[in-house]
Amino acid sequence: MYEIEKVVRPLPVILGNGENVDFFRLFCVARKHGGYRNVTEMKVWGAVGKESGLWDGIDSCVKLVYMKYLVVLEKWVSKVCGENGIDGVVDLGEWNEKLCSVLVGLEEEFRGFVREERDDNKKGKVGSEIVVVKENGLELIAVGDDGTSGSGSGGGGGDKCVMDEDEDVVILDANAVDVDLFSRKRKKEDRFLEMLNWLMDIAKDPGGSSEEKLAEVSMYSDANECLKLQGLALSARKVRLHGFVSGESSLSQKKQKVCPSIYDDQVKGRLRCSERLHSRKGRKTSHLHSSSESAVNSRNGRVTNTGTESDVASNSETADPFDDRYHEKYVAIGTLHQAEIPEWVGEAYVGDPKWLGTQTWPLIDANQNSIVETESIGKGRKDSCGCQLPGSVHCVRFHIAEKRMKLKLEIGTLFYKWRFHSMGEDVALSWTREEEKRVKAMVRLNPPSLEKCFWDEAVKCFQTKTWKSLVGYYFNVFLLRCRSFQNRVTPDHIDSDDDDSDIESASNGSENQNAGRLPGPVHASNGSGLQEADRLPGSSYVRNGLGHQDAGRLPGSGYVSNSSGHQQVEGLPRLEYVNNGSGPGHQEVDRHPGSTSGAQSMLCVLNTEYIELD
Amino acid sequence: MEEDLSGNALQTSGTDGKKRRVSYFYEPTIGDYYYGQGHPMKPHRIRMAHSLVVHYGLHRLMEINTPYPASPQDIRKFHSDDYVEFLSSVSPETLHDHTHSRHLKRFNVGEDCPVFEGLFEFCQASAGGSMGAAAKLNRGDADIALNWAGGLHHAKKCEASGFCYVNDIVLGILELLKNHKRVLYIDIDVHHGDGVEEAFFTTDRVMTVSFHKFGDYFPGTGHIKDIGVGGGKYYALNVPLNDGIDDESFRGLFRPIIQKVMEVYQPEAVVLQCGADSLSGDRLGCFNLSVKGHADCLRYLRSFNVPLMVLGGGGYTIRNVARCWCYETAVAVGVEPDNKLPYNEYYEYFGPDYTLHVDTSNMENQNTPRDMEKIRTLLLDQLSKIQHAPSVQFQARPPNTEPPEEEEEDMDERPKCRIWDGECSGSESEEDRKPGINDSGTDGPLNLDSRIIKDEVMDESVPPRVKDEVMDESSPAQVKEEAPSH
Repeated sequence: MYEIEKVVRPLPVILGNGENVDFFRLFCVARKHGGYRNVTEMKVWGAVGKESGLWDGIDSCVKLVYMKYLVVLEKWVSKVCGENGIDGVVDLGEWNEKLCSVLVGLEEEFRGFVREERDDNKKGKVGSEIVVVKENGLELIAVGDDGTSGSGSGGGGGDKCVMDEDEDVVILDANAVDVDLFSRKRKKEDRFLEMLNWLMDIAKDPGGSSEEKLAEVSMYSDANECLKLQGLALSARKVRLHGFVSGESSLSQKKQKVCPSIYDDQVKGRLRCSERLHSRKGRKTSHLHSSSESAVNSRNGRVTNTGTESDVASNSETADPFDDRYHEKYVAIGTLHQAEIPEWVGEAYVGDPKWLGTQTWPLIDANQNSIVETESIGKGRKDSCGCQLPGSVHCVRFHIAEKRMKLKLEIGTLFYKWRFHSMGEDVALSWTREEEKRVKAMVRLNPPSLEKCFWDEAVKCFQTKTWKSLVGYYFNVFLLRCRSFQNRVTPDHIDSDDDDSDIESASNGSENQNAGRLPGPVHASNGSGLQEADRLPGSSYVRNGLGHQDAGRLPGSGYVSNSSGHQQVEGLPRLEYVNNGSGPGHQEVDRHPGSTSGAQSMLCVLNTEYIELD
Repeated sequence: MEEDLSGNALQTSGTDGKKRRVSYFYEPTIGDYYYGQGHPMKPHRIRMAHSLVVHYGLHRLMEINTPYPASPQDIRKFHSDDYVEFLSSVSPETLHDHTHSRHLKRFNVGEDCPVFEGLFEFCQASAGGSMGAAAKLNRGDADIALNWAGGLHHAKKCEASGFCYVNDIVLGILELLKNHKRVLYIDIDVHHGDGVEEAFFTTDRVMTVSFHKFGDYFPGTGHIKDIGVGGGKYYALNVPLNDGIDDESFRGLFRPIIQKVMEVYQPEAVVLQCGADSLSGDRLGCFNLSVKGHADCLRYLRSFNVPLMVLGGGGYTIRNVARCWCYETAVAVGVEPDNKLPYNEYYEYFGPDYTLHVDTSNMENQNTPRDMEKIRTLLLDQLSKIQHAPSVQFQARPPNTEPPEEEEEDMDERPKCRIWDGECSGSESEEDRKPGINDSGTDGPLNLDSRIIKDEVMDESVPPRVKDEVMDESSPAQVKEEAPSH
C-alpha cells in the first residue's frame, strides 16, 4: 500500500455526494489517530471522515481517498520527521511548527542547490534550462538560463514572457530533477514531464475549489516568497524523490486563510480558468488538460498582444477534449532554443560552392558508359531465370554477381567510389573461414540477453580488423545470411532490426548449417563461405522465395526446388548438387565479381548442372 | 552566372510538368557508422536504399554528389558553441574523461544518443548533405534535392535528442532562407519534428507542419494547439494522429492541409522530412502507411513545382526504410519502378517476397473519421488566420510559384516513361483511382477537397501511357504480408 505511485490523480477530489475533501484536515486527523495503518486496524475511518468534516458513513470512501492521495505523503512526512527528531510529537500545533522549520531548511538547501547549479552553468556560455512558472497567467515556459532578457532572434516573443515575470516567479532548475532526464526515445515520459504536469496542476488549481484557490493565490502572490518557494521546493523534491505528484497541495491547504488579500489581475486569471474548471468537472478527463490549454492560450495571447481576453476565453471554451489530452510538454522559447534567422539576400546570394560537394554522377568521362548496354530505368528482376533451383541461395548469389558486374561495367571506377565493392556478401571475401567462424561463435556466446556486448569481444578478438570492417561484416554478411536463412526456413518470422532476435536466429542458423555441412575440399578451401546458408539440415524444409510454395519436407538426401513452373528436382543426391554448385567456376565468380568471364563460367556451371540434372 | 539561371531554369524544367532536375547527396561511407548493439538507428539503411536506387538505374536520372562535410563552424550556425565543441571532440575512448563526462547529461548524450565511433563525421556527412541540397536549390541547379542521410529532426540547439545530434534540417533551412523568403517544412516522421519546430517557433519565415503520433509518445510535443509564438504565431502546425493510421486517412489530412498551406503561405521552397518510421511494421512506429501512401506526400508536393528538399529521418525496420526511400527517389525522378526488386547486394534483406511494396498490416486504425474531420477543420481554420500578406515578406510574391492547380494538371500529363523503355510504368493514376482514396477526398467538411476530386478526373482523362495496366497486372499477387518485426 505504500508503493510509490507515478500517476497523476485528478484534483480536487469530490466524493460521490458532491463533498470536497479537505486533504489537510483529513491528513491531520488521520495522523492524530495514528496514521493509515492504525486507523485501518482500528476501523475508525468513518470517525476520521466525520472529524474531517465529511459525511458520516463513507468509511471506505475516505480510506480510498487517503490511500490514493495521502499515504505517500504520510510516509514521507514520517521519514522527514524521523530524520529531524520530531516524530514523537503528537500535538498538532507543535508538530506543525517543527515541520515548518524542517521545510524551511529544505528550501534553503534547495535554493542553494539551484544557485550552485546556475553558477556552474554560467561558466559555460550555455546554461541549463529553467522552468518558469507563472501563476497569474498560468504560463509555463522553459527559458534559457540567462532567462531575463536574452535577445530573441525570431521576434522577441519569448523574452517578453520572461520579463513579465516580476516577483511572481518560481524558478526551478531542471537539474533539480536530475534523476532521470535521460529518457529513451521509446520511453513514454520522464520525470521532468511529471514535474511539469504537477507544476501546472498547482498553478492551475492549487487548492481544489475556487475559494481555496483564490486564497492560495493570494498567499502565493504575497511577498512571503519563502512560503511559496518552500512549497514548491518541497514538492519538487518530492517529485524527485518519490515520483509522487498530486498530494502536495494538501500541505499548503492549511495556509489558505493566511492571506486573504487578493491581487486583482490574478483574480481575473483565476476566475477565467475556474469557470472552465467547473464546466469540466462533470467530465472524466484529467484536469491537467485545461491548464495546459489555458497556458498556451494565454501565452500566445500575451506574447503577441493580439489575442484579447475574450479571444482567449472563447478559444478555450470551444476546445475539445480530444485535442487537449496530453498537452504536457511545451516548446521552449529563448535564445538557447531558437535559430538565428539569416537575412534574406535573394538572388544576389552566392553560397559557398563547397556545399555542392563532389559530383560523382553523371560521370565526367561519358565515353565509359556509352558502350555499355544498360537496362531500362526502374526495371526489376525478371519473372523467371534459367537457374535450376530458382530462388535458391545459389541462384540468388549468381544473379547478384551478374547484376553487380553489369553495374560495374556501366559506372566503372565509380563502383569503388560508391564503395559497392564493400557492399553485400562480397565483404566476406576479405575474411578467412576461420574468422567467420569466430564471429559466429562470438555472437552465440554473447547474447544481449546476458547483457553481454559481442562487439567488445569482437574488438578484442579481431585486433587486425578495424572497427569499420567489423561493422561492415556484421551488416553486409552476417545479418544478410541471417535473413537469407530466415527467408527460407522461417519466412513468417523475419527480422533484421531487433538485434536480440537476430542473434537468436543467427546462432540457430549456424548450428543448423553446421549440422548440414558436408565435408569436402571445396568447403575447406572456400574462404568466402558463400555456400553456407544453403546448407540446411536435411530435416528442415526449403522454401523458395519466388512462389512461396512449401517445398515440403524431404529426407536429407534430396533438395527440393519448387516452383514457378520450373523443373522439380527430386531425389537429387545432395553431395552431387553441392559439389556442382560450388565448383571452381562459382568460386571464381564470388572472388572476382568484377570479371565477366567469371559470371559466364558460372553460367556454364549452372547450365551444366541443368543438363546433368535433366 | 548561376543567378541568371536560377529563376528561369526552375520554370523551364518545372512547368512542363514532366521532369525535375534531381540532385542526390550520398556519402559512400555512411553505412559504416554504427550506433551500437541493440540501437534501432542504423545508418546502414541509407546504403541499402542507395543500392536499390542504383540497381533500379535511377541514378541515371539524377546528379549524384558526395557531400562536403560540414565543419564545426558551419554547424555552429545553429548549434551552440559548447555543444559543437563537445560533439567534435568526444569519442568512445574519451567519453569518460573528466572534460566530457560532465557534459554528457547536459547535452543529453548517453543512452538514446550514444557516443559512437565516428559520431562527428556522421553528423558532418548528414549536415553536409542537407547543406548541399540547400545550395543546389539556392543556385537553381536542381528542382528536387535529396539527402537520405539527413532529416534528423529532434536535435536541439544545445542538446542531442532522439538519435539526432546535429539538426541538418535547421542548417539546411537556414541556408535556404538566404535565398528564399519563406520556407515550408513538412514532417511525416511518426515522431513530432520538435527540433525544427522549436528552432523556428518564433519566426514566420519558416512554417513547420508536422504529422505525427501524439499522446504518450516521444518526444511529447506537437500538440495541436502549439501554433507558434510571437512573430511565429500560426506558423507552426501540428497534426496529432493516433495509432494505425492508414494511407487513406493520412492522405485525407495531408492533401487538404498542405494544399491550404501552400495557398496561404506560398513558400518559395519546401523541405520534406520523410521519416520512414511512419510505415507499417516499423520497429518503433505505430502507423500503418504503405510505401506508396508515404510517397504520396512527396508526389503531391512535387506537383507544386516549388524547389523541394527531401530528407530522410527515422525508420527502424531497415528493409522497409530502404524500400521507401528508393521508391521516393523514383517518385522524385518521375519513374514508377517494378515491384520485383532487381537483384542487389542486399537482396536477401527483402525476402521472402523480394518486392518493393509490401502489404500493410491489419492493425486497427484508431483514428476515427470523426477525429480526422475535427483535426482537419481545426487546422484549416487555424490556417485561415494566416493573412496572405501580413508582413513584409509576403508582399513580394515569387513569380515562379505557380498556383498548384495548374501544376497538378501538368503533373498528370507527364509522360513518365519518356526517358526509358516503359517496360514498367507509372501507377500514379492507379493510385489516385483507388476508390477508398476517393472517398476520403470527398468526405471532408470543406470544399477544399474538390481539387483532389479534380485530380482524379484529370487522371481519367489522360490517355494512359505505355503499359500502366500491363505492369500492374504482371506483378503477381506477390506481396505476402511481411511479418512486423515486433
